[in-house]
Amino acid sequence: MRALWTAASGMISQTTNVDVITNNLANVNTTGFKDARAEFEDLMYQEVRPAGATSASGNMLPTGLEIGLGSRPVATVRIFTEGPLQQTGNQLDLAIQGDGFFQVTLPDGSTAYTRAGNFSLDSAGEIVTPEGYLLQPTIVVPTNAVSISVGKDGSVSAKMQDGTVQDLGTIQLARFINPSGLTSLGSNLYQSTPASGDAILGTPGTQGLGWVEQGMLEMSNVQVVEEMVNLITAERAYESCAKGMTVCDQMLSDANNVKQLP
Amino acid sequence: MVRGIESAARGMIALSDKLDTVVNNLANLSTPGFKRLIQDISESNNQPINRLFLQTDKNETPFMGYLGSGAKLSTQALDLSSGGLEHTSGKLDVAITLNNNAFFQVQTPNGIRYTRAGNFTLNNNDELVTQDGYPVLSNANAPITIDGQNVVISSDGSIQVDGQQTDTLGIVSLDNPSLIVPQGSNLFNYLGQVTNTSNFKVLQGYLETSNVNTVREMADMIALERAYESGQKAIVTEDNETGQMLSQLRI
Repeated sequence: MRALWTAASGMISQTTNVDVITNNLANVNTTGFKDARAEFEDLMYQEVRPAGATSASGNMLPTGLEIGLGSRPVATVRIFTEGPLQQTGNQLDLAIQGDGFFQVTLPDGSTAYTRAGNFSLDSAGEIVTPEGYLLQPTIVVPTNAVSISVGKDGSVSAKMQDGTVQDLGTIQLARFINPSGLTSLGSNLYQSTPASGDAILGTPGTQGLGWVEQGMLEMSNVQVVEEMVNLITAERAYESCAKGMTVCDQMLSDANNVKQLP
Repeated sequence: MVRGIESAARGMIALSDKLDTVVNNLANLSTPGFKRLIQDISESNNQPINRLFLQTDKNETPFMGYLGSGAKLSTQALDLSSGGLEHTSGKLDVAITLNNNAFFQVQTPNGIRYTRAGNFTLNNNDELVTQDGYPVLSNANAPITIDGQNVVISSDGSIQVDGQQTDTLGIVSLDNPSLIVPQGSNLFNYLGQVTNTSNFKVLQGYLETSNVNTVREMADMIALERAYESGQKAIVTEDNETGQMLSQLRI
């Protein structure tokens, strides 16, 4: 009875599917969150009789006989469509309209990428993420600045107490040929991998990069209805596999009852 | 008498093997590009039977007819009908429509294999690969390199990177479904000669879902579970009758 394990593999696959879907639902209000999708593939096939083989009576068998052994999860792919923009009015809330990521320096010196532009200032006046990671390139806001303005092209300037305007630098954005290949670090951060390709850097609005919008935040791109539909499909698929397992069990019990003790 | 037990047992074994295939279809309800397998069961070889006692005037045991010897697994068919199309908006997600025999070509260490699962990604050489890392082949049978920012895949499979036409997806037709052998990892092997085709449409941002239909598989499963139960009842009945006969013959 291979079917018992085959059904189990299907149920395990669907559990992974539900894990991914519920994580999407749990992040329906996470700034800059991107929807993930679980991908599956069929397992190997047991070749009972190869196609094109010759039978005992000498004729060629037109079809083979292969018994599949189930399915397995093979990847989780993120869907990098743009989430809706929400106006917050906060001067350090930045959203990217179009393609691209903000670059963030991690404590170990490596670079991570994020779409969540809910920045703030640390004690040194540097622009940081809610976890305190530095925005890259580092932009330091002087203590006597009254307000900060960020242009669509990423240029950051501060209005000082004496009324003068000081240029503080430009935010650079990064983009990837295959953003689905990025690894997720949690905390809205992603890291590049060989699959995503190297980051292509540029100022906002150039090289296909999006514009920076000040006072806006990008919301999660999770569509609740879509996730619910996926959840229903996953649950029903799980149920079907469980039914398969019940049938197996019933058949094994029937087989056991072939011999009836007096 | 014992022949009946043997026949019923063979039928039950064939049914439990068929269940393996049905459950495998169910386990792949969420596998993109999966094609369900249909397992047929056929009558096992018939054997001629003769009377037990010699007919003395002819000096032979007269021929009575043929007796079936149960059931066995017979042909297996791959259902190539298209699964649904799911909109994913992934740039490297492609689905083939209009032609159920058209497949993408994938280079594996064991040779070229074929797939309908277009959930592709890129590797560290910017080559278009499957989720298992096997390169997807162009119509020139070479890996496809995508090095640029905007990827547009047209309905004829041609790939434009940043407005420049670079490669065309190598899509071939596998004309004889009985020579298509599933290999796992969403790949198929083809034992015949592939033919070139332009009768298809490629959709970017879509994936072909599994063509397994739960209702059909459930119905199959109920039918074979009941058949299995009948086989078991037949064995029990025959066993009881043999037992009764033996007890009456007790000396």
